[in-house]
Amino acid sequence: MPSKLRRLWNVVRRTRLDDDLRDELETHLALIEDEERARGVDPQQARDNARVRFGNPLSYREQALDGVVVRWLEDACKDMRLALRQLRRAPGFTAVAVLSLALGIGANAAIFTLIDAVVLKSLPVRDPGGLVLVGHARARGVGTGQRGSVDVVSYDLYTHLRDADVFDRLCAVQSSEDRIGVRFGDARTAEPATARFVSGNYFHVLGVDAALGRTLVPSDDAPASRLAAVVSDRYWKNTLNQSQAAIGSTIDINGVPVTIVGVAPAEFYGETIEPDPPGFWLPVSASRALKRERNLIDEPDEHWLYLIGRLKPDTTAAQAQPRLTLALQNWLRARAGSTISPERSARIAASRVELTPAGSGIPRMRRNYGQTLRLLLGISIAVLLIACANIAGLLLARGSTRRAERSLRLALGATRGRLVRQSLAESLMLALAGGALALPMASAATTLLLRMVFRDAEYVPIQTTPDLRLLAFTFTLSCAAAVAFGVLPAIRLQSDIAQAMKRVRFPLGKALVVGEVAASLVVLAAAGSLARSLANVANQRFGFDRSHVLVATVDPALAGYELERLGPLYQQLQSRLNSLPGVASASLSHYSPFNGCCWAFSVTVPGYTPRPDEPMSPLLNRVSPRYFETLGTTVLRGRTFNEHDTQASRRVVVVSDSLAQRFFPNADPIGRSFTIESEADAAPREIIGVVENAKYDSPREDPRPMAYLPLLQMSPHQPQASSDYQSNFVNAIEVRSAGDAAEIASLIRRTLAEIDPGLPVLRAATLSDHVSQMLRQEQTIATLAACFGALALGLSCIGLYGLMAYMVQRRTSEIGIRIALGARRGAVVRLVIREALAQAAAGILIGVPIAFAATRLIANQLYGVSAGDPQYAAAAAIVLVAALGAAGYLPSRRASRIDPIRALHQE
Amino acid sequence: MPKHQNDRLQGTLDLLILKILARSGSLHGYGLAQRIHQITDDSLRIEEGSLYPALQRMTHEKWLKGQWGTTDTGRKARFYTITAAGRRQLEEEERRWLELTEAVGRALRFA
Repeated sequence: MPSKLRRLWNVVRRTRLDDDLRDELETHLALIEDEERARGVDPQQARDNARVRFGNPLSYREQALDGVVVRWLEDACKDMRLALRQLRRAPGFTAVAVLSLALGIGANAAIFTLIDAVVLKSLPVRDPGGLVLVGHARARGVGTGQRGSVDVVSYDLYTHLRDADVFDRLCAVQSSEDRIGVRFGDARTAEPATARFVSGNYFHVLGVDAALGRTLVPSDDAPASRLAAVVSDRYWKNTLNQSQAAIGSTIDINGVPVTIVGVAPAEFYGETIEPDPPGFWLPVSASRALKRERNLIDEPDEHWLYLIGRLKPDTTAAQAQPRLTLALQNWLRARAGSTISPERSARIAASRVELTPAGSGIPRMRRNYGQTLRLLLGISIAVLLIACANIAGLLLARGSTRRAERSLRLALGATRGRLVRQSLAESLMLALAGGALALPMASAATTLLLRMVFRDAEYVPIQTTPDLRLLAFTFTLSCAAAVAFGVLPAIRLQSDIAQAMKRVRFPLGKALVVGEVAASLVVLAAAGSLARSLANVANQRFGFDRSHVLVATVDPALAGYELERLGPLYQQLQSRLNSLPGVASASLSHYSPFNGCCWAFSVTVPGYTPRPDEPMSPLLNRVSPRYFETLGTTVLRGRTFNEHDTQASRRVVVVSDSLAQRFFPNADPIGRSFTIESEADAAPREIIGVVENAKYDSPREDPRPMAYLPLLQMSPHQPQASSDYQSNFVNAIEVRSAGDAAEIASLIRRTLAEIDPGLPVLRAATLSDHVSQMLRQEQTIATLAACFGALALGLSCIGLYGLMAYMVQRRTSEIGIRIALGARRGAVVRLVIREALAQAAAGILIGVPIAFAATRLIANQLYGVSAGDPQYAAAAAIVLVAALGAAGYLPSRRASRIDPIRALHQE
Repeated sequence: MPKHQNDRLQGTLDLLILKILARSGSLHGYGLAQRIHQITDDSLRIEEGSLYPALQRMTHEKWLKGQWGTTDTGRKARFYTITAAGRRQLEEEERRWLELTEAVGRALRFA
């Protein structure tokens, strides 16, 4: 035993023991002194003599303590060595136990990695705990008007709150991100990238230094300054090829020269953990030049920024909130002008600022995936429990066969405590081996999981290699598992062994198998209903034909197009794309299904009186001729748009079936008309056609009523940043073609480059890609649940097999006698299988009500599956009975082959 | 600390401690040391340095039980008594001791 380690132990175990010993040694010294004094030596001399006779008390103390500690450690080492030997002697058992533990712990560790990254971890910045977020970041994008707790603010409101004397520092961050076109040197085409506009003090507020060059500074945000950009480490590595020369060089973003001033640290992904974090951070003021008419910085009523800051040192969030709320309400009143309607006044009085901790960033992924991850964690814990029950059962069965060995050891003087310790040591060794094996598994599983959930993302800033936190989690979980499965066999050792030898204590093992079967049933039923739900969502009719449609995302505003030039561009695009070889039909639209949704305004329908609180805003979209044909949306009545529906012609609209049913029940909607709020000063639009309902934003919700406007009947309304004006710009090009999607995509790219090299395709994906992207999360849960279900089933089968094999072994002589007395082999098989099925039946009886409760618990994640539906529990039960019957069959066959003579000789 | 758990000499110390405690009931460490000196006529000097580790170890083995009490002179001291396990150990050690001395004696006689 290395002496340093021993000393360390002494420090750790310096407890009452130490004090007692010191007292004891002092007594000894005092007694020698007494003796010396009794012989007439003077007190001082007596003390010295005593010290000489006694030596150094401190060193005695250490030696004595070392004895105890060393013994304890040596025992522990011996226990571990013995445990290893025992495990090595039963390689089959050890392999099964370690592997099932590794699977159970690995699944938990993988999901923990995600939960840690998405929910728990802090931003990689200085003092993340001091960061606060204004609001809850529930809203995103651009909004007009404020109600309740403020989430997004305008630039004007940002400066107002920043100067409210509450924050030490406050920065503004664009709540969404922008796709930008980047051109290097004299390259012809622009490469797409993502960027986020931030206030100049962004990096300073967060506490992030540049890895290279410098970060953005407030002076970059001054109106007259040269445009500066910070790029992400990933962008620098992948696109700029780690070139030092790139720092300080000028590139072309959206047609405007911008200088790259620095590279952010590798671990910094921004304030929001999300797939494909931005490659560029640009100062907010740069949006004037880069986003031109769509820049929002000078629109005080367009709210689009998140605010993150640090409070003044002596200010608490509770003190800051009322002051910020007051500042907000003052600002809103000033914006409202001199005459405020009572309704608006009440809305202002109800608006407020709430501060939330922002140490782990903007909680977007936490919100989207938190529930899913918790569900998965629940399932994986159930699987781990099954694995533990399984190993406990195996250990018990093994323990019974090792009774003789144990009695011998007891007889040879081993204490019972020692035996318990050894049994626990064995469990711990198993658990630690399982945990060690789980780590690489977890890492691989996390990578796989990320790839499943974010299939379209090029990069997700989540580390999959095990870190200290994961190690700590895995170690704790392993120890917990060791306790979970090690305690039962150990307790059994504590009880009187002689008793145990006489009594059959196997019901404990049976109970474990029953519990396992019940837990497996729950996991299987949950997996079944999740799979059903996924199939329901995926196989529904969305209101369009998913196959053979390619959607190219474009942004003419980025390429510098203004309203007057859009009409000719659209006509050119439409005719060029439709004449491409292999293209059945092509169209343009403001947005396409599950891609850029939604734009809405309330409508006024003559002759229809809405209820007081009835929502009157259908989704709106602007589409070109042949749009419905390209998407495969069925036209139910009337006609769709053609080239003659232009600014000069009659104002028309195509509506969805649900809109027609709602506003014109029992009447022919064709020829009727209604007014859209944003077009209040223009003539009403006349309905010329009705198309089937389609889902554009959520695959789970009922399709919303929709109105489609012809692309060429534009809205020239100001301001230019308004959504109404923006709807004139198409963002999606749809092409129906039987050809290969990648080929069509490059064909579209070439065609666009021919028309205008500055108009890049930002993204090309098929319509079914867009749909499955929406279903990705569902699909991942269903797949994982199915994997976990299979794992649970497998473990239960192993558990039952082990139990039955043990039973057959224990009853060898009884079965031998039965066979000797003429029992048929079939009867023996039935005897064993009946026993196996009895366990399964008991487990199923217990599991069914729990499975019901569990499905109800996850009901909000299910689509088209009724919470109390018994078919999933029933299906799970059938699967279990079949699998468990098979698991029981093998031992039963062995039983039926027992040779009666040999069996009787064995006794 | 040198590792000598199975050392014969230490076994001797254990044997002596057990024997003395079995004879005289309860003693503290100093008393034990005194008694060993007395009965061996000072021919076996017990080092205090090995006495206390031995007492700790034997207590850990549950051969001895330590309890705090007061000496005749009014000092607080830990008094050791032998346990049932200690008595079994004593028998064992005595038997081994006799075997050993017998064997060594035989060897000396016939070598």
